[in-house]
Amino acid sequence: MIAVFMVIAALVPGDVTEFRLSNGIPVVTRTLPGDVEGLSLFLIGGTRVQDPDNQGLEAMALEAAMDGGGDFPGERWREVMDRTRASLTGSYNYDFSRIHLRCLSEDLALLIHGLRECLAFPELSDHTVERVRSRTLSQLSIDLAHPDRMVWRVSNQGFMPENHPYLLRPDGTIETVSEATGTDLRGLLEERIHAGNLLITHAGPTEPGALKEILENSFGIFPPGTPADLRVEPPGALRDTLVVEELEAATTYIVVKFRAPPPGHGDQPAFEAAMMVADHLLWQILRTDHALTYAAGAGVTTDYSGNWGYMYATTSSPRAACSLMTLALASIAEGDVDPEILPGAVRTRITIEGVRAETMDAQCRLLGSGTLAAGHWRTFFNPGERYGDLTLHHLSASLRKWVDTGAWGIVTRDRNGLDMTSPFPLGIHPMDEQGLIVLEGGVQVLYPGSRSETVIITDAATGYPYALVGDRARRLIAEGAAVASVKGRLTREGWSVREDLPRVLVTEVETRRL
Amino acid sequence: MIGLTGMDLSQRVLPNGLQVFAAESGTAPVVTICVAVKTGGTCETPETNGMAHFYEHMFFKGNAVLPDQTGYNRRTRELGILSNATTSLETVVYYITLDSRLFVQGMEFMANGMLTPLFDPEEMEREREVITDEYLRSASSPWWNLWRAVERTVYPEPWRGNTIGELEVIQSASPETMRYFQEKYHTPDNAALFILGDVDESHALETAARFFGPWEFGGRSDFDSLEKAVHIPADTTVMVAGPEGVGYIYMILEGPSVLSDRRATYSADLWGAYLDLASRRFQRNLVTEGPFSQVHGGYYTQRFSPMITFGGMIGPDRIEEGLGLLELEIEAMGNPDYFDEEGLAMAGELLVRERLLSRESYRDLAVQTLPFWWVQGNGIEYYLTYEDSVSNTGLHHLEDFIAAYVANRPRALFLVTPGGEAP
Repeated sequence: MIAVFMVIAALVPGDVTEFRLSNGIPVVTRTLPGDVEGLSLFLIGGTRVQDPDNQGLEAMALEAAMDGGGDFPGERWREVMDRTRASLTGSYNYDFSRIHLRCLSEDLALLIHGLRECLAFPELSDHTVERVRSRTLSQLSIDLAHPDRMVWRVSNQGFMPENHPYLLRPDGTIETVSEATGTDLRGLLEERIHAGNLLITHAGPTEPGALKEILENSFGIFPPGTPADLRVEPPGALRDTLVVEELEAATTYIVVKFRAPPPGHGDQPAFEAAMMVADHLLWQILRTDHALTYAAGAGVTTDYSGNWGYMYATTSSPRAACSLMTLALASIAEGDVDPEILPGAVRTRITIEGVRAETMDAQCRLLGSGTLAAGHWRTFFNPGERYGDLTLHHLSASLRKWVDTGAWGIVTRDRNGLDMTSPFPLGIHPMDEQGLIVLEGGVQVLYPGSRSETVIITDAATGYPYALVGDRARRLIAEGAAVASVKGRLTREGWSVREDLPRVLVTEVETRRL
Repeated sequence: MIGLTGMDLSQRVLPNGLQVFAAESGTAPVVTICVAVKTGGTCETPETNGMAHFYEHMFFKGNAVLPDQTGYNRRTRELGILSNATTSLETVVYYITLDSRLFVQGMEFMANGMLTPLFDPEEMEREREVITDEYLRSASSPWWNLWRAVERTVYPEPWRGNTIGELEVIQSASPETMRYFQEKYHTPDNAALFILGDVDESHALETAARFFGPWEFGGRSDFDSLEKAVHIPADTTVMVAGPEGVGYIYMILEGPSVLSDRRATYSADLWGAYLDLASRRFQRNLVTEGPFSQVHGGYYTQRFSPMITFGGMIGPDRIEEGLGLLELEIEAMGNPDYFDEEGLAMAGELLVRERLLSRESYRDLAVQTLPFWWVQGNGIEYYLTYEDSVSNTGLHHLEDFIAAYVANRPRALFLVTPGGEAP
């Protein structure tokens, strides 16, 4: 582990400054040497503030706005962008939109001013709107024909609860994009762009004092506003699901998604580390040992208000691949993993962070993600500190606590030719056909009679302990049960003194006294 | 030490012919080590199509120190290594990035892979399946039909335009074929080593000599004497099947090779940069006020497949209109009034700024920019003198270039529409 800690200090930046503009927009800046500046403007909301009829319009509005406005009408703005060779790129996701400016230092003030003009006073000519529409429709059509893009959304069908905002598409649909008008886009920008919705991050050589002055004179004019309450229901499937989509694809694409801790949750580092290990395991098992795939991987989202873990592979043998993916995750949950993989995965992550430290774009993204998702820019900058003390036991506990079901999405040429017809249970919790967890074993009451009173059942079949919550769990205490057979569902509701254990809301119970 | 705008690059040539380049950056505590080899699809025959790529995969499958891929995987974790490789038509690059304090171990790791690959038959058997899945992934792309059509139309020997190869050839790969590619191309005199990042340059060069010095001189590569691979003798139009709702126009003309007409390559780049200016007529007539949602016109520097390309996304119902406008623009380029001096100055400045921006990430510089130009320029000098050469390019050079390579030249035209044809 020595190598892990040697570079920690170098990766946790000491050159980050935070301040607010007079209208309240928070700014996080990292001062770095070089010629290149990066500046990201985060517009907080994403699909959480969209609905089926206007999904994707924010992306379209921002793309069209970046064509010019105010002091920089289209023709002048194009000339400025040509001269500076700067780039303005938009990315749009479930929780925020991000406009990123990349330029040389000497042009930063001019371009920030121009960007402000575009957003505050967008030209939005008819031709611009039509061009952005045409481009977006082409891209959406390509996505619909691309199995690698489609498979992630196919998995969502089983994973996201009905009407969940993450079922919406940040880049829109053929219908919404086709019907949007310039008036819609202008109205949306006026409604959405205010200080309460914005975060600015910067990385580059411009000092904080100079940056503050530039930003105050530009984004300082946006009206103040109040951040909306944008919490979402944590996504997750009630039972293992399999959704198959047919597409003219030469190989089969697989994604399985499953629950993960929300941002800032204490289990997040262990869960992330578990998925880093899973990533190495999939490479070893699926690709190296069994040669089932060219591309396999695992990971976890960390910057959404509702996160998820995922595994991915392409293969001509989907049943075998899904089985091995399940096995890989289960082996981490069982703690049955080569002990060298965890420190190795952490070392690799530290290298990844080192690579990210080279580009201003990645720096801006990390500063913003940490601030928005976990409340502090520092969150994703210290992988050694974040993962360094973890053991396989922590990883196992985090998976057993969070992963109950898997939502499999498969894109294949012919569903009838698919060698699997039902989802592989991720195998971490014993479940019945209705998706209820089934446990049988010894019952223990911790701190009986106190406010910390907690019921624990240790499942005899797996040896895993669970915390039981709900009225029926309390009844177990009253009955003085020593052995019980219970059914229930995994929940984040209720409370237990053993925060490390998965919680089960008991729905059926059968008890025995000894 | 050789100077570049904004960075210095140290260089040494080892006795075995390996060219080593090093540059230090303190931005991040990592170092990237990359070996570029002059080989790829362009070196292949129908019988070996895809073998340069197969060889690239075998780099990760074991060597004299790490006997198999499991051993390789384990060592990458021990050192926290990010490793990868890419094969293109004219270059294969192998690279790792790791904690700069483990630089020496990283160099040893890299040298073992380059100098002593095993080509174990069992590992090859497994990798065959992996590459097959990679092939099938490519074949699943909505752009697969276009790629295949290009390869079969502009390459008289289509295999020279195909990196991943044909499935039948992939299935026939043997250790003997790998040895052939090793002995012919994977030799120090046909390769270059790039070390960029948080490492002292002289230490990097010394370490390179220590680990790569024993790499045996080859002298068998025919790369520098290969013939041009693209040839478009007459106008050709190919209708290509694409996704529903998507139209794409793609036009290819033969471009200048760095080896035979270096002067024209600078003109071509300046010309491409001019066409990229959103404030000038090409973009204005075709995109800002035209039917394309985006369009490009430019030159892709290659030694054996140099191409001038035009293309753009457009609604499938406006393909005909778009093509008409594009052809009008191309025709108009023959008129000197098409270009203005101020725009040309902007285009030149644009190329210089692009270079500055490309130096933001030393990893990208080590694995993309420098290897690319080292191969295409037949040495790093082309890259190092690029800015001066471009700044010495004027309107009359553009006129010469257009007359020689664009105006009235045969072109291969690909129209991608939902109603096109699959190969």
